[in-house]
Amino acid sequence: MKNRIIFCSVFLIIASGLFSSNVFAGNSGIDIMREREERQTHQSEYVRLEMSIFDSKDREKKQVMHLWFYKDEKKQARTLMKFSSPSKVSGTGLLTWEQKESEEDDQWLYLSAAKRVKRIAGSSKKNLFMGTDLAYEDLRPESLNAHTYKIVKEEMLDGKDCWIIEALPSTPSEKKYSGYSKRLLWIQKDNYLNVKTEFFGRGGKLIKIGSYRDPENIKGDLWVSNTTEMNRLSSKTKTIIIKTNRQIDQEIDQTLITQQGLKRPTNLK
Amino acid sequence: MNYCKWLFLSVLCFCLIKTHPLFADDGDGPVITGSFKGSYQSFFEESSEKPDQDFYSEVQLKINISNQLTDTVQYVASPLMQEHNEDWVEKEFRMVEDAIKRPGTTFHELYFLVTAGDFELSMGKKILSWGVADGCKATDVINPKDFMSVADTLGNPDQHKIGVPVISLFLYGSMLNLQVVSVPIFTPNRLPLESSRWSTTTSSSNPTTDIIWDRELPTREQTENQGGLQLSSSSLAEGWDLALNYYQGFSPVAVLVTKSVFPEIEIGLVYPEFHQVGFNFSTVWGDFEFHGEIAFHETRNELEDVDYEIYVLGLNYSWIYDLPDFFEKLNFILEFVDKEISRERPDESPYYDSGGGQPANESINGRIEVGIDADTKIELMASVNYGDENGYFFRTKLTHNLKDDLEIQLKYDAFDGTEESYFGRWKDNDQASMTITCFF
Repeated sequence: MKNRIIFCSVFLIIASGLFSSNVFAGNSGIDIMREREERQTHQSEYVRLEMSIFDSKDREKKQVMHLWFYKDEKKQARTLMKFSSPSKVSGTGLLTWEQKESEEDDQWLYLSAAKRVKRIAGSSKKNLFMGTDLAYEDLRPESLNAHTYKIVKEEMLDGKDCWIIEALPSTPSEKKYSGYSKRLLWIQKDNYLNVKTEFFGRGGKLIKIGSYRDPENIKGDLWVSNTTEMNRLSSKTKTIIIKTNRQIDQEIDQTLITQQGLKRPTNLK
Repeated sequence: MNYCKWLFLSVLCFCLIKTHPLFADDGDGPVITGSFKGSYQSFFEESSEKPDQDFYSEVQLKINISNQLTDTVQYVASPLMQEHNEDWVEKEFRMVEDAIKRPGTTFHELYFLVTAGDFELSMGKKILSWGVADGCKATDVINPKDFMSVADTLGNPDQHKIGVPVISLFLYGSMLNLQVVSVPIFTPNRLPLESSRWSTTTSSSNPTTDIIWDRELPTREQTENQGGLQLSSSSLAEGWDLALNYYQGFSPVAVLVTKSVFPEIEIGLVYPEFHQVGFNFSTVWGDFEFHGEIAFHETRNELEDVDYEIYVLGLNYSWIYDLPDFFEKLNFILEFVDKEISRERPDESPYYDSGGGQPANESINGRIEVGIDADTKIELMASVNYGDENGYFFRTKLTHNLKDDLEIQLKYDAFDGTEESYFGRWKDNDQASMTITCFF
């Protein structure tokens, strides 16, 4: 009897370890992505982004943007991005409201010179955002329900052990409107941070490579990258984004992340 | 200047001093940006009525200052200085831009913004935007526009608005938002001067006849109830932006009445009182963005002006994939505008149209924007009036960033059509222009 109790206890301890998220997540791509999403889930965020855009001749342009994000009562993400520099685009902003997985996200662009808000269509999400090498869709949260995920390989990258996850559009909407036929994501095993992404265009050709560096542990299991570098291969251009002044789960004025809020001066530098 | 202007300027100076990095508590200070623009427009043909005007040039300095005073209060101030070679600008400061000419110095905008909870209150001189169309915004009636250079206004209805004193209260709701606007002081559209090549009031048959123009601006007592409200929503129907608005006030478009013909011709400009109900929508479907506006405009004094409806329907399409290598992207914009007169003036009415006002009525407007690279864009624009008086307008525009903060714009505008049409009357005003803008 005593041996049975010991055996059952040991069995339960081992079983709980086997079914812990770390081990369970390694079973499939979607599990890894769900674990990543769970770790990265936070209610709100503000961050300042300094962007350096390099053309094919390596000439640099600098832009400064501010990003606010929060999840509404339906757990759908609302994001506002506003430029503060250079002065030519100061005040220009992009508002994104995430919708249900079967529907396209709502996006609006605010042109400060004209003081008007314009809704933009699905095809526009493939567009490059404000002269950078990031498409509008790159700025959306990862939509797990719109993709299938599969582990294709495990690899060491810069000394870190990573899974390589293949993400394919799975819904008719995503297949139609996304600019990518496939993405390969390098997910670091110890902290579930995405450290590299390869983007493949409609013809299956590699078109962009994103690298995510300078990791920081914000709190608990939440890790973020403070530097993003996006290289567009066909045009030989790249964009480097450095994130500063990050605030996680602080109170955010939700009226700011609306069409009316898009027009509001933000007074940030 | 009256006491209101002194009060505003005093408060503004206090804010600027208080928020200067030397004196601000946290050293952040105001955000200051701006632009300096110089423009040169050359006409291809000599004007029979104004033979000495074969070019126009203008300069403009605009500064944008904004700062947070407290957690809930911020201000915006945009001083503006400008000059024109043909005396389009009066040499004085003016806050309310109700003069015939442009003010040499003014505030393009000057207002305080209070945000607290679910409401947002703004007070001061401001530019508001109702409507969703790209060309003709039928429901956007709060701010008048500067039509002194007709070609400049075409295709850019928002960029030539005139700020007006306004109190705006915006209430955020979970499904519906409400905006209530009061515009206590009237400001008319700024029309081309009689001496200008863009004039719509000079008689071609009597170009040398002197006319006395007598503007009758509504009084402050008459405009104390000028304003409107708008209900808007992006949540009521998913994927749709909807707005319903109502506005009452005085039309910024004058109607004319001949007061005397002897010994001098004296013509009065009257701004009819009206009210308008409008509706607009915007949605996306596939690769397209669709939008529409409809406005029902009713004049209070039947003698002064007509009643009409304006319908606008438009679409946007962006094409960025599978393009030839030398294109980065193509944007297509197409808009259809129709105006139906529901009630004409009675035969005995002494009033008649001034010829100014909403351009491109009863028209089809199209625009193609071609992105060559990150620094260069070409725009082709055409507008066709399909009504009884056919008229056409065509534009080619090249915009290039010489440096990050230095932009050059080259433009060619062409007009054609019958003399009676909105565009055809300016057949002789085909022009090429160059604008250099420095941003800081």
